[in-house]
This record gives sequence, C-alpha cells and structure tokens, in this order.
Amino acid sequence: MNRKTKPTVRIIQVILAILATFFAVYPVWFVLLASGRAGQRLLTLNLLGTFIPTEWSFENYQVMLFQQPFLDWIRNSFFVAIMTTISCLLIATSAAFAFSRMRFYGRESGLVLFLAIQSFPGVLSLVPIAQLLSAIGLYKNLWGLIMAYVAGTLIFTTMNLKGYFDTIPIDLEEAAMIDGCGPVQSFFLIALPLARPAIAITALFAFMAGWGEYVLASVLIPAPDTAVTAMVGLYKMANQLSVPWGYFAAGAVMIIIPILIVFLYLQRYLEGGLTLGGVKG
Amino acid sequence: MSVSKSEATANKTVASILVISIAILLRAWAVFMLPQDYDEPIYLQVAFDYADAIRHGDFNAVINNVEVREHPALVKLVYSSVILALGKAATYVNAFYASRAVSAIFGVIAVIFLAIMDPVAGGMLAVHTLAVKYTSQVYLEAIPHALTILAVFTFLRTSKEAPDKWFWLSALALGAATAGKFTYIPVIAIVIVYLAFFEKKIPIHWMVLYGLLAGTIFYTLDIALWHDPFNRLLESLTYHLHYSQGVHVAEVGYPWYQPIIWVFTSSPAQWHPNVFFYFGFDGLISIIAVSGLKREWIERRWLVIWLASGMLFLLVWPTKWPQYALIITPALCIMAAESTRRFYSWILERESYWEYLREMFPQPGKWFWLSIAAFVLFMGVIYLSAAIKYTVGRVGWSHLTSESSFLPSDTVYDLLLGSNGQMVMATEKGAAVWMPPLSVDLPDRWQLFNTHNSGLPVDKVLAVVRDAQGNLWFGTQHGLARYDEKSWRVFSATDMGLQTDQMRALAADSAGYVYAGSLSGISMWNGRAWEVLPAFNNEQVFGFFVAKDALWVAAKRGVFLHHISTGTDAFYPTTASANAVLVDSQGTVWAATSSGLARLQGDDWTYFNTANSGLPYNIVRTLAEGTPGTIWVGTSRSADVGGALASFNGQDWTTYKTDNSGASGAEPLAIVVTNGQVWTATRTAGIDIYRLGDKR
Repeated sequence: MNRKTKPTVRIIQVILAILATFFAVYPVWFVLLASGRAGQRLLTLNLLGTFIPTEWSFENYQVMLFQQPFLDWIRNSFFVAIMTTISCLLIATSAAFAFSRMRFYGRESGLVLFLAIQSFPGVLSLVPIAQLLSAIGLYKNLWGLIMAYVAGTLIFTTMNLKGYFDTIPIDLEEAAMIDGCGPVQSFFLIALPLARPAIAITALFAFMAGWGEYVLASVLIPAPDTAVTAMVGLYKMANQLSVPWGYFAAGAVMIIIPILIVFLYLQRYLEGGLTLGGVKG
Repeated sequence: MSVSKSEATANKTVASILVISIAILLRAWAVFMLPQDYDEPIYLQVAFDYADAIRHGDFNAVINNVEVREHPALVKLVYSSVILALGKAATYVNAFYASRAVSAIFGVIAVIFLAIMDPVAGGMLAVHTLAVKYTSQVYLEAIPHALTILAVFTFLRTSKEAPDKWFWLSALALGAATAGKFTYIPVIAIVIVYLAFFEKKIPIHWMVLYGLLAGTIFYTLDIALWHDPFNRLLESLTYHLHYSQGVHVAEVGYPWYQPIIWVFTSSPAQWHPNVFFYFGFDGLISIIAVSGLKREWIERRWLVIWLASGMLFLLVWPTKWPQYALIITPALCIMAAESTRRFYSWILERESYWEYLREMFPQPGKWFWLSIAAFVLFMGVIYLSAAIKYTVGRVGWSHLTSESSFLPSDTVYDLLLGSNGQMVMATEKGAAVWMPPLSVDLPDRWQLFNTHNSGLPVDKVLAVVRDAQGNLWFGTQHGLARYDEKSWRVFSATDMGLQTDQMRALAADSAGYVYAGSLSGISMWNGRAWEVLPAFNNEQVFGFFVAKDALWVAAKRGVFLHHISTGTDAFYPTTASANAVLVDSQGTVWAATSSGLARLQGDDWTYFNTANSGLPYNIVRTLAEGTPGTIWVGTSRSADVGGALASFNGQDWTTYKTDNSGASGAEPLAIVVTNGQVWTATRTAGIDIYRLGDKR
C-alpha cells in the first residue's frame, strides 16, 4: 500500500527540517564566523556578517597557537582522553565479559550496585575524589584526572558491553573451547572480535568523557596554565570583566575539528552501537 | 636474497634519516625553548673569558683560567670558538644560542652514531628527554656523550687479530671524551677493558698503546693541564670528591636512588612541558631495556656491564645531577631497541596467523587520513605564519625586568631621561638610575635607592624629575624626597601645604621652580619654600607638562593651563579624567584621557578613540613625542589587565601589541623617547625598550 503525502504536508516537513538543521548547525557556524573576526567581538553590527564571513583573518588562530599554551592544552586533553579510553577498554571489556559469562558470588548484587552508582550524580563525588587523589599524591596530576574519568565512565561502559556480550551466542565460545581454547583465549579471540561495534562505541564514549569534560578537570588540575586540559584552558582565558571571544572561538574550532573527523569516521558504529547493548541484559 | 638485502639496507637508510630528522627537530626546538639552566651562564662566561684571551693572543690566560677548572677545557674551548666566530657581533644572547646550537649538533651526532649501530636505538636516543635537554644546552655533556658512543662503537668493530683503524679511532674518541668531561670515563673504560680482554682478547701491550694514545689526546685537548698536568689533574679530581661531599650537594639532598628516578621517569618533560610536548618515553625505554637484561647477558654482555657499572657509579657517587644519567642512556637505548624488535617479531609472527590486530583495530580510509593531514597542515601553516610574524615583530624589542636586570620592581611608574643616556626610574620598590655601559664589552651600571640605603620616605616612588640645579626629586606614596647627589631631604604634605602626601606628578621649569601634584592640589617649590597654587585646591593632579612660560596640568576634571609668570589660569574640561598632557614641537596640545586621545583645537578637544582611529584602547595613560609630530601613546585595556603602545604621526596609527611586536602587553605608565629608542615603563612587566630603526 502506497500512501502519498500531501504537498502541503511535504512543504511543512521540509520547512521544519530546514529550521531544525539551521537550529543545529548555526551555533557551530556562528563560532566559526567569530573565530575569523578581527578583535574580540562575538557579534557584529553588519547583518550580513552574522551569517556569512564578510571579514576574515587568521589572527585569532595565530594568537591561540603561538601566544597561548593552546598546544599544551590540546596535548594534555589528547593524553587524558587516550589514556582514559585505553584504561576504560581494558577494564570494561574484561569486567563486562565476566559479568556476562561467569557465575560468581556477588554477581547479581554487583550489577545492582552498578545501576545504583550510575544514578548517583557524578559532580557530588568531586570532593571525595579530590581528597582521595590528594592523599595518594595524584592531585594536580593528569594521571589522577584519568583515574577519575575511568571511574566515572566505567559503569556505563561495562553495562553497555555486558549487554552486548549477552547477545553473542555462548555456543561460539563453547565450540572454541572444544577446539582447545581456554577462557582467556575465548575472550580475546572469540568474544572481543565479535564485540567490535560495542567496543568502538565504548571507546568513543570514553574518549569523549576525557576530551570534553570541564568540572572535574578544572578542580583536579587547577594550575599551572600549561598543565590544564583544553576545556579548562579555554575557560581560564575569560575573566570577570571580559571574554576574548575571538580567541575563544578559534580555540573551540580547533578543538572541534579532530573530534568531528573521528565522529565522521566512526559514524557507522554510532548508528547501531548505542542500542546494541540494550537488546538483552 | 640480494633483493631482500638491498631492501633491508634501504629500510635502514630511511629509518636512519627519519631518526636523524626527529633528533634535529627536537634539539632545535629545545635550543630555542628551554629556559636558561643553572650552569649555562657559568660555562658561557668561561667561554667568553677564553675567547677574550685568544683574541688578545694571551694563551697563558686560557691555560691558567681557574674558573670551573675542575672540568676539562675542551667543551669550553669549543664554545669560545663559537664566540670568536661571532666576532664583534658576539653578545651574551647570540653566543648563548649559538653555543646551544653547537651542543645540539653534537647531540644529533650522538644519535647518528647510535643509529648507524641500530636505527631503533638511535630513534630512542633521539626522543630521550634527558639526552635532548642536556645536549641542547650550554652544558658539557653533548661532546663527551657523542664521543663515548663513538669510542664503544668503533671498539666493537675492532678486529681481533691486530689493531686496525677502528681500534685507534676508539682511542682517539675516548681521549677526546675525557677532555670533554671526566664523569663518562670510569664507566666507558670498564666497557672497553671488558671488550678488550674478555671478548676480543686483545693483547695487553696493544691496550697499553691504546691507553697511551687516549691519554695523549686527552692531554693535548685539555689545555688547562698544559702547564702543570699532574697537579692540575689531581686538583680536578679531588675537587669532584670534595664537591660531592660539599654543602651544595647536601642542600639539594637527592636520595641515593635518585639516578633510578632520573632514568625511569621523563623528568625533563615535567620540568619543561612546552618543550617535551610528547611527555617523554624515558621510563618506557628503561623498562623495556631492563626486560631484556637476561638475554643481553647471554648475547651482548658488554651492554649489561655498561649499564650495571654505570648505574653502580651513579648510585655510589654522591652527586646526583640528572645529566649524569646520560652515561648509561646509550646502553639503555640499545637494549630497549633489541627487546622492542623481538617483541615486534613475536607479535608479527602471531598476527600473520591470527590477523587479530587487523581484525580488531579500525582501518580508517584515505579520507580519514587526508582530513587529519589537512588539519595538521592547517595548524602547521598557522603556527609557522605566526612564528614568522611574531619573530619579525619582535626585532628591535628588548626588556628590562626585575629578573633580567637590577630593576627593583616590575611596576615602574615613571621614567626620567638624564644626561649621558642615563635613565632614572620610579618603581614600586624604590628608585633606580640606569647608566649605559662605558664600552660595548662592559655591562650596564645601576644605582638603586630605597628606604634602606637612601632618604626615600617609602619605597613606592610614583614620579621623578630633575630641577634646574640638577637635584633629583622623587614623588612617593608618602611625601616628596630631594636628592642632591650628597644628601636627602624629605617634604611631607604638611610641609608643602597639601592635604594628601601621595605625589603623583612632578615637573620642573628652567627658572628652578619645582611643581608637585598630589590628589589635593599643587604646591610649588620656589627654591626656598613651598607655595600652594590656589587655583588647583582639591584638584586631583595626575600629570604636568612645562612649555616655556606655561605649566599644563592634567587633572581629574580636565586640563589646566597655568601661566607661570602671570599666575593666570585657563581650564579645558575633558569628558573623562586627564591622565597626562603634552605640547608637541608644533605647539599642539594633546591630552591622554580615559576616553581617548584628545587634541586641543581652539578651546575644544577633538577625541581619537577606538571607533574613529587606530587607537588600541580608549584609556590613554601616558604620552610622549618622538620625532617631531609623532606622538607615542600608552593605552590600557578597560576591562582587563594590560595595554598597548601606539604611535600617531598625524595621519597614520601604528599599534604595538603582543601579537604584532615584542611589547610585553603590560599597561604603559610612562614613555620616554631618546636616541632612537622608545622606553615604556609598565605596570607589571618592567620596561619595554623598542629600537626604532627604520620604523621611526
């Protein structure tokens, strides 16, 4: 049965789609325009300049790259994000596999506890985390921040992966075990390759947690300027009296682009990855 | 078979070129970016002394130079040759960077030697943060570090049958390394002796000749020993023993295991995160190296002996400076390279069967890599263009700060040009008189005044002026002080008939009168007593300008004109506080106001602000005239700290901000233009000096 949409409905749909797209894309476009505008102006009196680049210079980019410790911030963010991703994958995959495949004392209560912790607002744990890191000498240290991020993201990533492992038929691993595989080999050689889409989304999630987070980073690495992450560094450029919008926008663009490239590349995983773990479990 | 061999050679060549390129880039970066380290000025000063003596043909002065004689002379002599090559253009700054560059060249040579032996090991040394740091500074490490690698490398190639060119080259390298720094020698000597007697079975008489040649080279290159070799050598060695037990080493208080920390962490990456942006792999290299100890003991025992004897030496020797760890870095890199290679082969073998990594890791398409490359290229181009732009902009700029000079404080309120190029500075922590050097090879001179050594009532000096009799007057936070080169006299607000004793502005005219402006009016010194100028009662005075018979006053409400001879006054109100006033050589009156630069035309002001001119910021703090008709303007940001300098020639504006010049970006408080230089006193960054050159 073929139902034909009425032209008026079609037009309304298209208009709504255009509006929604504009609403989503314009902020990014606005930041891009501000990044190329001379001076530190967020807005321009030129109406045309609000929508298209009527003036453009790379001065803000030059200042950010050469006069601000922007490359240090990017380096710190990359380090934190990558180490968070690796640590998260190492722990979450093995934990999720254990929860999915093995029966051990405390398994059920552990899963319930995971859910309970997940419902706890992360910001509330800020002070204890800071105190804990201070006690072990990792306050103002990127490794301390990584530990905090890993602890924070582990719940979701483990649950997500556990859900996905549950969807993989255990018969495959049993068949491998008949052929001589041990539990570790069946984990590495059978389960992990089959869980690639879920691992990809987990990696992306962990990377984003380490890359774009602000609150923990600003508290756990307050100074010096060269040691902070990109988000904190950008925010520190502003003060109570003024915000250097041009620098801010240029920095934002340079932070967005690499993530945008990674997102575009991983989008095929994104389409299904998040829902993969929700099928069962 | 031959194809695979040629392929392997080609791969090794490509790897070596890559490694050497990385070594060059990292060391060049370090040369320019590393801050001056503790011993660098000491070695450079000796190099200057050597160069000076050589220039005058006084070689005895070189041989008998006692400064840091505990270290052999070769490396210091190399640095002095750099200074000699620079000739008359040699200054501390260019000699510093040129000497660093020479050090870095030897750092790269060390990498080349190791890369020839093993490209992977060369790559590890290329990125080793300790090696990069201490072979890119004006230290003594780079040359002996490279030469010890050469000594071992050539000895390994020595034939077992009879001494060949490699054998003698090794002796030459070892002798030269000893003339570079002693600390490398105990360890390398043990390695050479082990190789000679236990692996190559070289007869003892050949080794005696080896030692004699090395000793001769050492004596020849360490010219400090020429006059009295045995005593001086003994002095050097005993100095090190005493120093290791001395106060300095004890004060630093490194634990006995500190060398392990140096080797297993990338400390330079923590000290200089902007230089070692890649965090450093020193710890990883050491861990990988140690993981292969057992295998190396069986296959290349000399490496284990190098590492063990080196580490033992580092642990036992009480002096624990980080650069000493360079003794064992080549051994660590060679061992780590072999372990890495074996691990890679192990992985590759399994991967060829399972294809696990290929399966597990994403295989991004060409668009992904192209996007990443485009982004990196974009960043690189922007960075490079900024580097060129700022480097060009910084030409002609220099700075006097409390760190780089005797300037008492980085907050400088006023400047006064004296005779013979002198500059008197009023600062937060006293006054200073800067005198230019008497000749190019002598340092500049400073005279400092504060409450401890002078009659200044307080340290905070806000204004300075010299009267017709040559006395210096200092306006301070609490009163006025006069200095006649012999004695001081202090005047309080009560003495001057004023209500507040914060003296913000001073002026003197040719008749000998001195005007002191405070937040409650003006008092005039007539040579005997103070007279209050009644027209300015309760006026907040910020600046003066004396022109012929006229005293121009910048005040809170605007600009006043006071005719000195007649005592009559005129008032020109401004829209915001007038911070300074200036009458240029063409008779035009300018006012620095908090709402822009104002020019008096008739009885009205014409304002230049950010909206209608090239003025960088609307708050104008200070003014000065450069070449006739060119006004220099110091502006401050309204909603933030800092400011910018600008010049206006009546038509065009030129601004000097941090992004287009070498200006510090601090708020300018006073400007003096003299001898083709613009001196700008700033609130937070000392004094910016700009040599006008062609841009005048």
